[in-house]
Amino acid sequence: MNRRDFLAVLAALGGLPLAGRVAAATPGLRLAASWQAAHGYQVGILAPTDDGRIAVAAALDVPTRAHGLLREPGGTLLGVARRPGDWLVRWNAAGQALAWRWIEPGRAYAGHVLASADGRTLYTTETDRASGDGYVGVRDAATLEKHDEWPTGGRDPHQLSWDATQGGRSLIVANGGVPTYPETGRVKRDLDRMDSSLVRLHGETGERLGQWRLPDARLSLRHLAWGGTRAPLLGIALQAEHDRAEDKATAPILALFDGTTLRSVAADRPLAGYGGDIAASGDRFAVSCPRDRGIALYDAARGWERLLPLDEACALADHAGRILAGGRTQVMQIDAASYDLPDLRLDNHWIVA
Amino acid sequence: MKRSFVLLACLLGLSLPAGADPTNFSASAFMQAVHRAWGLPHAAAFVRESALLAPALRTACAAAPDQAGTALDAARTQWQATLASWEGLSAVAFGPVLERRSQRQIDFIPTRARMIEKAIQATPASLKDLELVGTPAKGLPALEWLLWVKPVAPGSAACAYALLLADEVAQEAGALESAYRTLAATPLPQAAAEAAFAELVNQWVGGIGRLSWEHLAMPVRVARTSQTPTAPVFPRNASASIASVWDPAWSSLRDLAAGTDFALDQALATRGHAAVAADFARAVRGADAAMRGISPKETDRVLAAGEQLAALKQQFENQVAPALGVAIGFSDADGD
Repeated sequence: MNRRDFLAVLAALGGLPLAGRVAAATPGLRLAASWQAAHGYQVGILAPTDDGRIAVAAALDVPTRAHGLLREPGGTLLGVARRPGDWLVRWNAAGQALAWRWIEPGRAYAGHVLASADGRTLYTTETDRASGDGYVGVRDAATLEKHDEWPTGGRDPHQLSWDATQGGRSLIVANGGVPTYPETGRVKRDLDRMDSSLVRLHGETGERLGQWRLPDARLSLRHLAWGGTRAPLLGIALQAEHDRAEDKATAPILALFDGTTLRSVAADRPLAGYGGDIAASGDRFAVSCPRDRGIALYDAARGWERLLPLDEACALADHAGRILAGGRTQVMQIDAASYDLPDLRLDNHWIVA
Repeated sequence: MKRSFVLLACLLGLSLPAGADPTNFSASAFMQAVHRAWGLPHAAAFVRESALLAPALRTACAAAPDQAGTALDAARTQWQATLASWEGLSAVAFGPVLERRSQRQIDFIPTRARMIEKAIQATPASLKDLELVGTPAKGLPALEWLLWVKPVAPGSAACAYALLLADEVAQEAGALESAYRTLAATPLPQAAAEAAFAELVNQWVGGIGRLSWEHLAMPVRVARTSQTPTAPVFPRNASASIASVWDPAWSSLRDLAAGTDFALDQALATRGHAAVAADFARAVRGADAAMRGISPKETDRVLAAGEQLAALKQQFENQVAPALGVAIGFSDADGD
């Protein structure tokens, strides 16, 4: 039994926390996150304190839920709204709003934003409220204004990323494929029409260069993280939308894409069919399972590793080769320090600021 | 929902059984009470008002030049009355409104002017012809555009098109009332009733979110964060029907939330969550006070009311829905 397994067993037995609490084990760590506080939604900066807590270092009130975050080359941050997806905000590490960009009528931000390598262009996933069709909004980073848009070839677009298998010249977009309509609000309908896919778009023209689907049409491809030590490998966190509870509970929550082939990865146990976020460190992929109170770990070659317990685990980030996971009351660094988290409810994601 | 109707509903015995066993909450009885005491009267009001819209437009379309202004004003007034009744029904879009996707059929926002003009040029002559026209060019928003933004002239193709739109709205109202009448008359089987109850709870969250954000807070926020100072542009701005949307929408949400015999606080109490019910009812009364008399001109009050409704939504999601045993779809916890 190696140290990692030993710690996992201890945690499973309800003994010590998986990672011993080590104050200030990660000096300089700052995380940009979005959360729900007692009085409403915020984006901000979280940082460790000397006494082993993660504390709010800066916060900005935002009017509705924020979802995806991006650190820009100059150090400013972007936060994007999701459901309702009306705004994009640029803010700084002091928690000051620098610019707001409201989406035009008939469109909704889908919650994620990406920057070009030179930082001059931004790409936002968006949905046409009338048709449900997905688009990538191409924006001038200086003004946040949209100057072009590219169809994603699907519905319910979610996260997007530069394609590491193509030298970053093309975009990969996850079309979640869940049919939602403004008039049906929070009720999911017509799930038999689900059509989730991964698309590759030309990075300059938006031309569709490829599209991949999983055999199981009820698996929604949503969140993306690149890993792999020998060759780039994209991990995709999945959200199962099966009608039968048992199908959903046992559905895979990770898919892998090597640039040509998309496949799902089975786990040795049910994971409640929902991956909330994904991070990669080398050949390891971590998918958070808030419904199953843990973090599912996989190895790129060997597949399933284990589930690390963490209540309401969701936000994940790779920091200096270690994966940081945010839960309900605790922040865990896998196989390293953990921290107490103040009374706030993290949204799906955080990033190293 | 008028309080007088609530009283009438009570007198007619539409409430849940008094002293019901907390462990024996009947979703079927609860939903039937909602359908009978909330859904059906709102649908009937929508039928009444929408039935008067086409005649008012017909008069406007046939008016002599010296009567055109007066007739147009009458049609506008009837459109506003129709809108208010529709807002009362659709503020919580569950059951037939959701099933029929009525909001898309007759209230698609934003309406698209170019599509309206194209549809007018196609001169549809019947409701069947209208089926070929896209929803962004139809329904109440398109009628608002035809009555205020580019007002229809008597005898014009645009006027004939507006008439058809009004007929279609009235037809949808009739279908909704018919569906509610069936639901009010026949209790749903337990499994279907539980699904309907979960849908109601979820759509109440959706409704309060729509009112608090899209109708109240967002327009003020957009105006205040724009690079050049501007006045908020509220939904239904063209017809200046802003507050007349807020009132019926909030009344409907409030009546389904607390203070009536078919409200969700009653469901909480019946299921043994009296403290959660009391807290929620208190918050609803606070929101009611914040909503009372707000005007689009008082943007601070509008924003404050929007934020109070947003806080009510948060309380509902975090305390009420879990106590009711209903999972909120797309909750922050199950994310994206």
